[in-house]
Amino acid sequence: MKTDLEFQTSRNGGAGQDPTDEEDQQPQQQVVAAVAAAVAEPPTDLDSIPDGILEEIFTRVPAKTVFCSMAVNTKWLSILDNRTFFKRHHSLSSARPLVVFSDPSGRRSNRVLHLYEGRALPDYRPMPARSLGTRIDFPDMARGRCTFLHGVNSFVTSCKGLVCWATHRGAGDVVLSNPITGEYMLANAHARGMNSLRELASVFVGVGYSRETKTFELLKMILALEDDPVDYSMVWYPELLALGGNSWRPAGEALQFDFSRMIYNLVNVDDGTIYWRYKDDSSICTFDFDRTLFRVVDLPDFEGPVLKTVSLGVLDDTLCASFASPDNTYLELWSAKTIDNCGARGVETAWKMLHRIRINTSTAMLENNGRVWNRGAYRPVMHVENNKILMHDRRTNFRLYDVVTGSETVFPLVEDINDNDEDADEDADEDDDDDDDDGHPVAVQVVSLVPNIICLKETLNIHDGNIRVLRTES
Amino acid sequence: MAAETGTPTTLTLKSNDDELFSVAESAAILSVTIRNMVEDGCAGGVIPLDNVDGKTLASVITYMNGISAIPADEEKKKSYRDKFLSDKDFETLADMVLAANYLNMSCLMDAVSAKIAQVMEKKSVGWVRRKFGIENDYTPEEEAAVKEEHKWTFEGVETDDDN
Repeated sequence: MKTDLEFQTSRNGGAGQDPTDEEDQQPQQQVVAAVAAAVAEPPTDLDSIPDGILEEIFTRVPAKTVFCSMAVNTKWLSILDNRTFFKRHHSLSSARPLVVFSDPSGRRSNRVLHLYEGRALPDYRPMPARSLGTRIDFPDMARGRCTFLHGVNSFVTSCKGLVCWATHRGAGDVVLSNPITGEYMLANAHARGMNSLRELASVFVGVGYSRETKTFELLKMILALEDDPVDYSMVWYPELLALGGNSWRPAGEALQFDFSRMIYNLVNVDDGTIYWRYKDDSSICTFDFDRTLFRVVDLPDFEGPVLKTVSLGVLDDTLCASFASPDNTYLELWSAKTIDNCGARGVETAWKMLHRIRINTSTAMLENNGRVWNRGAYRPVMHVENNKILMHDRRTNFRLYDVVTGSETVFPLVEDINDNDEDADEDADEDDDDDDDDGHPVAVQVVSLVPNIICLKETLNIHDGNIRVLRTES
Repeated sequence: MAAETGTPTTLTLKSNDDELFSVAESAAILSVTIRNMVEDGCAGGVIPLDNVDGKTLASVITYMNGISAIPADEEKKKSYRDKFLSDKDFETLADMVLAANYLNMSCLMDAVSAKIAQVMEKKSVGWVRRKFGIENDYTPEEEAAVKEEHKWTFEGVETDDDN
């Protein structure tokens, strides 16, 4: 008997049939059957898949498929249209690329967002994402304001499924939106020095999250003339707004860098941390929303000049820096781990090299209208299965790198653009390319977004009836 | 038998259509259901698995053997799971998710759920109803209202004719 079993095991236990005599085992079999019956549910057909299993499956489908599936029948609607399920779905979701177009005309402050939720395909391309339908038209009061500035979005930041940007480089309104639910709200961004706009050189606004207070906060950085106008120097004034509140408050001392007139390379990680760099400076700045503290993070030790060859991005929910060697022969990707010492030494950042990719130099030089565009300036967006890294070339293309072979695939951010407004956006982006070199935002940005089905007010934990949540047209 | 001969190294599993399978205990106890039976001393004879048919059980056992042969390396385990599930059709996946649930095998459950989720992407509501054998209990008005509310999500979804 034992020999029998061993023999079958050696055949890998597959579909072998055991001719064991069954009388011998009858008593034990009954016991086993009883136990099995106790843990088993009655035999099921597919139409009676237990709700628990359906939920397991639904937590893994894209947010978009969740909404589609609500139309299957009333039972599925009751499983899906449910706050607990939404929370679980969000907690298990991973970051996806969200492409944000600006309307550079400034006539209509509408923005078009495209979310790539599709999973890895054999030869990965993000699932062709038509617009999320998130087309934000501002109420009349906001239109026409600051028309002397370009209508280009400020940096777009994203945190826990919400995206945030300021219009008109921060001098107008701050938009906070959940692109999945199509909701948005406006926070007043009245900046210090708004009465004398000539003094206002630059503003950016980013959304972050304080784990201590469990609140979302906006960080606004204003570059303006110093209070004491004797020597007319410019300084950064940081302010914070707890979402749901009404007034901005000072946010401690910003780190001041000489010549740092422009912020660029802003990224944020889904946990609510924001990182950015100042133009002409190689270090990274970050703001700790828990401690209301600015901090400098040094870049890893790259072999070569870093001002134009490094770009920040987010990979797998951590800060990532890409670096291209000066001769464009290889690309390095580093990920930053934040170590919280909880003590006097505070928070530290440790870098680890993820990949070093040999790149094909033959195409490196003569692209982008003949200008050299260093691959280090590409922004890492997402790890894709099968050893591929998706990057945004900060124009209108995604670039997909195979980390093993170094092969590169280029494809446009958005395929099949039919909408006239979107075409206009693309054209304008070309004009704005130079802006990016100067540290200005461009008309198209890609951020990481962890899709969140929970409605905006609940995500923000705001119960103030006076705060208006608007809904985008589908 | 188990009690008499010490720890058994192999178990015999019986599907609900009376097929018998032998599997190493170390692999079989990936199933918490089976592990509990072993711990309760019920595993010496044939273990009847009333909710799993022979075809599905054969697949599950292939998985048990394959995954338990891989040392503790999450990357390798993941790629084994991906490969294992890559050629399974929807019906097989559905049988496997029910089996994984019944057998209480969390790693298989996670992988198969994820695979089914992936298959469901971009599929039409009609496709889902057919494959899951679901009867539509919405009135036409209710269904239209639900679809209207989330109109954008129906863009880029396969039409029913595709399947």
